[in-house]
Amino acid sequence: MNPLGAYVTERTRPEAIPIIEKRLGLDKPFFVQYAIYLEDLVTLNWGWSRVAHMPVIEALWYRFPATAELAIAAFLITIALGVPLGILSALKNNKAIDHIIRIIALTGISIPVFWLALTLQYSLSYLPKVNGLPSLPSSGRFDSMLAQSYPFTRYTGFVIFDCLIQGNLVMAADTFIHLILPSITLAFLSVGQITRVARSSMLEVMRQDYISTARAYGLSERVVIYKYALKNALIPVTTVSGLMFGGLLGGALITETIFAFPGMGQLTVFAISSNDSYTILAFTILASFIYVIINLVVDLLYAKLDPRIRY
Amino acid sequence: MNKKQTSMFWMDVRYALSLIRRNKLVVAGFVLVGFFLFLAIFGDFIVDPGVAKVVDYPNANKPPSWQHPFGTDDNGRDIVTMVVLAAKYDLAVAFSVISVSIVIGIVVGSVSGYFGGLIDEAIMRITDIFLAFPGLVLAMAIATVLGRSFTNLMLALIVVWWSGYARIMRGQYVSEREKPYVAAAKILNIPSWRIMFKHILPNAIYPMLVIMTMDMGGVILTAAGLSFIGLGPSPFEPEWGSLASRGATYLLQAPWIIFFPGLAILFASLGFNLVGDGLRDVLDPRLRR
Repeated sequence: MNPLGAYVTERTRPEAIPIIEKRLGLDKPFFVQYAIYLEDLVTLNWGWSRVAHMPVIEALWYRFPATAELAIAAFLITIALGVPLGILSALKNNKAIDHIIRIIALTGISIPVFWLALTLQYSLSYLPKVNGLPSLPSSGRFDSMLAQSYPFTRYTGFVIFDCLIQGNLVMAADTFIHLILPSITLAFLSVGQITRVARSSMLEVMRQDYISTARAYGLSERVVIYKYALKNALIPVTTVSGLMFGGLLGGALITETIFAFPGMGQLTVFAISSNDSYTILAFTILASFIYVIINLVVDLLYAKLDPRIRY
Repeated sequence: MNKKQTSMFWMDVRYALSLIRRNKLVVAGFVLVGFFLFLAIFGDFIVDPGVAKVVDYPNANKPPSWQHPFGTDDNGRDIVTMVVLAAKYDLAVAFSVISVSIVIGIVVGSVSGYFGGLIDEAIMRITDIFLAFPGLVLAMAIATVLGRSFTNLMLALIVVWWSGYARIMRGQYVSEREKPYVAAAKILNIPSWRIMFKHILPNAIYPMLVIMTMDMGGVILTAAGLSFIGLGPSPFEPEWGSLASRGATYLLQAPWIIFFPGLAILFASLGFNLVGDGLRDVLDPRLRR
């Protein structure tokens, strides 16, 4: 595909094409273009985002806190639900409750995210609103009308945090309830994964010899589970949840688009539909970079969790 | 196989079947998968395939009734019919993406893992390039460049999917190639391709079965997601994702348009996941008790 395509329309004058080509550096040899690209990559000169009308790096920097807020909320829900469900499922292996939890977990990984998002919007936001019941907001990050009556200054971009330090409880609460539906949507998918990992890792640990030994010593089942089994079972859970968090921070494209949530994912979807290659490229690089960093952090955390591992 | 081996094989199969039957979740999964396979194969005979091309605006966006149990969509087409017709296309996407990906994965992974060295390095670095992209973004980019159609949707998914399989197959071959039976085959001067595909492959493919089954669900989901954001086939080819995507526009007036195709995606994907989950229990000897 010729990259010029994104800059030329039917109305572009033919004599303008070489000028555009020159400005974009497309007249230079391929390897020179690549060297320029690498230099710009390292110096964070990532080009102009046509969809955001600002430099790409600024657009991503401006939108990152929104994505991060959503990712943290979804992550907290996932851990709070997924780990206990998985452990419970393993301890009650093959009982009714285990089957129910397994079905919930498998539903979580089988559900189409756009469908879940729209169904939640319809049933928890639109239907109650039409029937005059209290409803959850279905789009945006906060109510901008409300923000005019309760203005706040943007320090970090994490709106809840910014509002709390300024004592603006109304906006903090409003931002929080705007987070509910998108974070439930995201969390539903990841709860499935975490539950499955927690379950299989707990089952694996409960089969180990040291658990039989602990039981043979006559320790109570509580002590065996919480003091011996749980700590070891949580090591694989940490890896998976770390990678999951990396994935969430990389932006939830479909969820952010449906909930009109102004994060990096939404920007990327706009960029893809209007062929804005600088933004798409920058997002891809940033998402991969975040993923790699989180992966490294998880690896280092390993040594803390499992003293047998040394670097 | 001689007679004794054959009877051993059937004993294994019968044992596996008994394990499957004891696990209610797997039975549920097989029922779901069987149901959708049935719709995919016989759908054209159960309902009228001509409905897909109908444009009947007076009957558009009608709520569920006896005549149209799931309601009608924005073209006035009966949604039950459309969901049934779409089963064929969606399962075809899933089957072809998984089978093409696994073939590429086996070829690439086996060459890489069996020969090792420089070939391995070269092939794996190329695979890494594909793995480094976020799957959805890569698929979106490819589908956008190629344009809307079924074939292009499948191509985009194959490009995303094969690299994971190549990785796993390579790992399998690396661990298998050191085993005594491979050394024995080498001493007998059996050609490499024969060792790779006739001796190692049957041992290396086992763990892939579970992953492939569960990935069937994954492909159905991803394909639906892609066509939901408008990268799927044209509106006149029934497909769950694009049906749902039309429903999103009319969410407030006609929520049933998105509800039922979405439910079909959920159950089809859940079916494959249940089967895959159960297959793992059956294939993993440590779980046999």
